[in-house]
Amino acid sequence: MNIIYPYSTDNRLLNPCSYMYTPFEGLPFFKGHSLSRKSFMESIEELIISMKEPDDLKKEILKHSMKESLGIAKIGTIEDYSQKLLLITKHNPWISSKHYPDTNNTELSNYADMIKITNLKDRVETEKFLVCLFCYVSGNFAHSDSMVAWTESLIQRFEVTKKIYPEYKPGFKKGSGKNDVLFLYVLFAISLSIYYGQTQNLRYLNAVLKINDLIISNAAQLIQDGVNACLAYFVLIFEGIHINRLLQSKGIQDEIT
Amino acid sequence: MKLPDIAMIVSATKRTDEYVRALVENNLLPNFMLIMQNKSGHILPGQSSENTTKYLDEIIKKENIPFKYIDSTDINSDTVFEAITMRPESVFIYSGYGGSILRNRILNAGKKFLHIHGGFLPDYKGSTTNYYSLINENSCGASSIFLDEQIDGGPILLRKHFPPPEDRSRIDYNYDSMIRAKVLVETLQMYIKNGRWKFEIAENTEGETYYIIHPLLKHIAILSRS
Repeated sequence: MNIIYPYSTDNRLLNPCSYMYTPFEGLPFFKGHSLSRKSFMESIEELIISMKEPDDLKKEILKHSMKESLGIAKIGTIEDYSQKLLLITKHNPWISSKHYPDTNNTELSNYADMIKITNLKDRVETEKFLVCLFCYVSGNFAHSDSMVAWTESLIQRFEVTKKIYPEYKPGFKKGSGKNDVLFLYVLFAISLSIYYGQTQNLRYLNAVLKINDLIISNAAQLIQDGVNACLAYFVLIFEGIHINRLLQSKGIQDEIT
Repeated sequence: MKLPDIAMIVSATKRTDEYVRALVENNLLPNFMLIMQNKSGHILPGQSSENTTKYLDEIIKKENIPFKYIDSTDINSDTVFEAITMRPESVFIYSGYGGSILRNRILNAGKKFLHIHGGFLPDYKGSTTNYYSLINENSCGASSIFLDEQIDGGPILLRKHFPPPEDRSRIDYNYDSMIRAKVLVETLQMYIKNGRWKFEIAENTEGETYYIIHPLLKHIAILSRS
């Protein structure tokens, strides 16, 4: 029996899902979810393969994301994500995992000091914060209590409002600006995906799943930008692998297959 | 026995029925019951299609518990605020509709609100926490606290772990209510025995806040075999 996965069919920017009291649908639910994700990933592969080389900052983010994705994909999964990733690299050599810039004097390193000098009483420029978070989780910079606190605040904001805004008032209070900037969502999702892999904190995976529902529900907008589509692809690889591992560890995987 | 300084402010939910059933079975009768009625025709969070006040009506009459129905489902409404502040009891056992959060006005009205959180505090604050603890630890929990402005941050009176239920698919309506009711009863029994409220953890500042669980993780929690 095939179940249609309903949580990414409706535009979640226009019609947020509260996820309250969701029904239990048994083992077929996993198949429905997996088919939904797989279908979306297949629909954007061509776009990613032929994407234009982006600006330096986004290029670095994609390079590091590719590295992280290849790393996790190598650890055996149901789908052979490694081959798909290598295909992307073949058509986009600038994203190659063989060439990782030194973190000194790069676009990403410009964000290194930002988190040291800011605190939760400042106004938040979300994109800058998210680039910082990405640097932090992809291992480029040292541990920061501030980074953890800011991440917790943005998780709380997203979980309560189901939106990410380009700016927030001091203390991560009310957001302002347009809340449909998909780059912010995919960047947050990939950072949380990597962070979940490091910490196994289910709260991060929970947020990733909801963000991914939202991203996929805005596929038409997502495919306007190759970078966003590529990051979304990486995030879904992470999601698939994390979920498969959980299913294995909980003795559920065999029952699905 | 009547608990002279303890009243209840409740909604028409399965959880309320379980609370009242457990209290009656253990001879712990509230001094008064305020019942927030849902007359909207729509099911509210925490209700299932079977929820009515039928059981409450029966038990109130049988046990002779003084009561009042309130035509509001909003714990923060003026109607509910007035009804609570007019009562002499200093402690209210709270069983509200799902997702309701008490605002500062009612929290600072001079009453204590005894709430049973569905999760082991302080580790599992927030929402749907027993699903997370099922995945992490293969256990459930419930904790009694007095509510304050912090989400699940009030002083902890009692907290207990419980094994996972046989049928995990009905946790939200059956098992969750049952274990909360058990902790409620034990909390009140401790209060009677000690003659005062004693706290297991007075400063409840640690732990993490969990948000409504995504259905995929919920399915993992329900179907988990380890």
